[in-house]
Amino acid sequence: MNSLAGFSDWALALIPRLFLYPGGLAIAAALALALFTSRRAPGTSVPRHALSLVANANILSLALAWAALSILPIPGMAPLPFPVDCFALVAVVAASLLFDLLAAKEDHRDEIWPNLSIVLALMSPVTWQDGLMPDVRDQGISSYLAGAAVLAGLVGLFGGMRYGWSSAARWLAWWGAAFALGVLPAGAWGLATLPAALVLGWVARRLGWGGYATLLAYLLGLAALATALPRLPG
Amino acid sequence: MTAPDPTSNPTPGRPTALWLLAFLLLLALLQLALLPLLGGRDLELAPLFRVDSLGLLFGIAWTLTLAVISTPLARQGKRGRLGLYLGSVCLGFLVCAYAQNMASLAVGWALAGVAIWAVHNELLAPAPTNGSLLLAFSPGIVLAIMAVATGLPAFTPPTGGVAAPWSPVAAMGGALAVVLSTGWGELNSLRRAADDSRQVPNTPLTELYALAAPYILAKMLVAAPWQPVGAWLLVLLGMLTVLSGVYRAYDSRWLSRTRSLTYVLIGISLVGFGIAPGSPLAAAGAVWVMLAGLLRLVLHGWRWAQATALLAALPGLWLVSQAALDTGYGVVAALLLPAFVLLAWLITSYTPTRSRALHWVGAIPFTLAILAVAAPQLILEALVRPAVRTMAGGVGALTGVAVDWGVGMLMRTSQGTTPAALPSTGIALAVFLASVALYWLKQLAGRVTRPTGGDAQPE
Repeated sequence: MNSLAGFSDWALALIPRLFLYPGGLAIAAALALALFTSRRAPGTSVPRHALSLVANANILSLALAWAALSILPIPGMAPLPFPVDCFALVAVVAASLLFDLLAAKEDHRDEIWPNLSIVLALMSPVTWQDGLMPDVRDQGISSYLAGAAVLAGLVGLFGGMRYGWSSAARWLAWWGAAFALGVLPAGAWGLATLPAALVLGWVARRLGWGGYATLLAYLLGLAALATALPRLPG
Repeated sequence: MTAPDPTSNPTPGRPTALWLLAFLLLLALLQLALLPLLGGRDLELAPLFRVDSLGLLFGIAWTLTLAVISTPLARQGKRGRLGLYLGSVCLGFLVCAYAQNMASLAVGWALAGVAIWAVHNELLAPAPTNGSLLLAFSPGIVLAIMAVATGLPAFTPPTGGVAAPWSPVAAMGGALAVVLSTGWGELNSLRRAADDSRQVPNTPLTELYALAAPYILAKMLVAAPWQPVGAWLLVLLGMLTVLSGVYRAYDSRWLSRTRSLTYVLIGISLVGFGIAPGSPLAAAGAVWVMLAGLLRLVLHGWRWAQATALLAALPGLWLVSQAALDTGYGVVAALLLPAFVLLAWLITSYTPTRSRALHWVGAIPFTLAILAVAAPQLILEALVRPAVRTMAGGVGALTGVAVDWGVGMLMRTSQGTTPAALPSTGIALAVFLASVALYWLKQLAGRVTRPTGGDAQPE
């Protein structure tokens, strides 16, 4: 396969993923989530608030999160012509936050910690794998701990979403990455974790428990890492 | 404090700066001219020098970096000898780049260190002390001791058979020279901060000295691999350096946070060169990360410099992570990316510091950085693979990584499986298309939400 063929195959597979499913649907859902989580100015209608979220979006940050949502290797979907490993997925979503932080006009460092707990949880399964490609086989207790850490991290993150649409897109991208990388269970049980994370996140936000959820995410992530240690090759 | 004399030359060092720039660019051009002349072969100039792909890559990179960072320094000096010192820094680096044996490397490294000390002596107040002169010499002294203790080993791959590996003590000696090269600028800065309550930054030369230091290990790998214990110790030291760099990023001082990136890049290079005898991917990653560090130096002061260098380093980190998994360092692979992104977030988060605009010269390294992120396969094939091939004594052939020119890079095992894949160009295409769509959406939303008529607010 020559280089032009590889590129065109990728582009043809990417465009429907980006603008329709899963990227297009997810970025619209992220806007709805941002509408729900962001504070609306008094007297502002919902459509006008949505337009202001779009008008104030950080293009580069949101584009990175959108790209991550589009290239997720979702089970059941036709795979991309070129595989994507967990390092690439996590790095793209992390770069999205990087550009939000870079453009921020005030200190938003509190959003870093829940995001970091999710990165740690998503990378911990790598410890017992031979490569960076997602391994959807059941890994026992380590896998469950990593999945629980991602969920706790998402709950912690829900309360601290500061950057509007891009924060919401990142939240969905983290969940999607966990689902696609096999950290969350496949099938209906895995899908059920999305509404569960939303409801728990909303409750934690109301009660101000985001910090506790983040702490729990770290503990679970470190436990996942520790339980994987005996399986090291060599 | 006296007022400046309006009749005096406001930039007394300008002629020196121009001469120095011309000298450094000429040196870079001469080295570039060697590339087609050698045609991938090595040129032995025994017993002192050896011109190979690894030396050429870093020789050219360091010379160009020095051309960018030392010209503003030369402008500040009032005496022409500052240009001589800066030229000596470059000479020291070039002796290191093309060193044929440990003794040449020791001489070059000591020359670069002492020349940087002399530049500081000219430019900074309070001037460095004799104690810091000894510190500047120390990495060179360590290398000289190693040269004597190991019997002046030549940095050439064995012509036949297998090279005898470096002992763990030799590996740690190389690592000690790296650590001292990193710590010298740091100690100097701390001492001056103690003397003077102001936060006086070091010149970027100490950063360059630190970022170039892992090259010592690369040179050693040209001749032979490490023993397993030596490799393990290097990985341990590298991870400790990475974690200490991340810990430093908690510090609220901006200077400290930018310096922490240097630590982390050096730590990743140590890990990479430590693992390299087990997996050549690691050597490629370490070389990559060293080059990304130079990009940060060249873009120094620009608001986006940190983010640009961090993104440019990501493919190198990917290579080291996969190599760590190949060699059984699973925890290293799992921790490297979280540590790196935490550092990235901390040092790019809101800082009330003024930032200068990107100079036109910065457009070249910025383009290189974008290429490193969006088309890493180009950098891998053009720059990194020939450099790794040079380390034939200690590192195997870089056959595990394959390139799809249109999409990105991926790993291939002998069984035909794909343990890792990084479609950087493909992801860059997705980001570009999404950015275009968002730009127009944003414009449209801005038109609708903009107040009109009597409600319009003056801007």
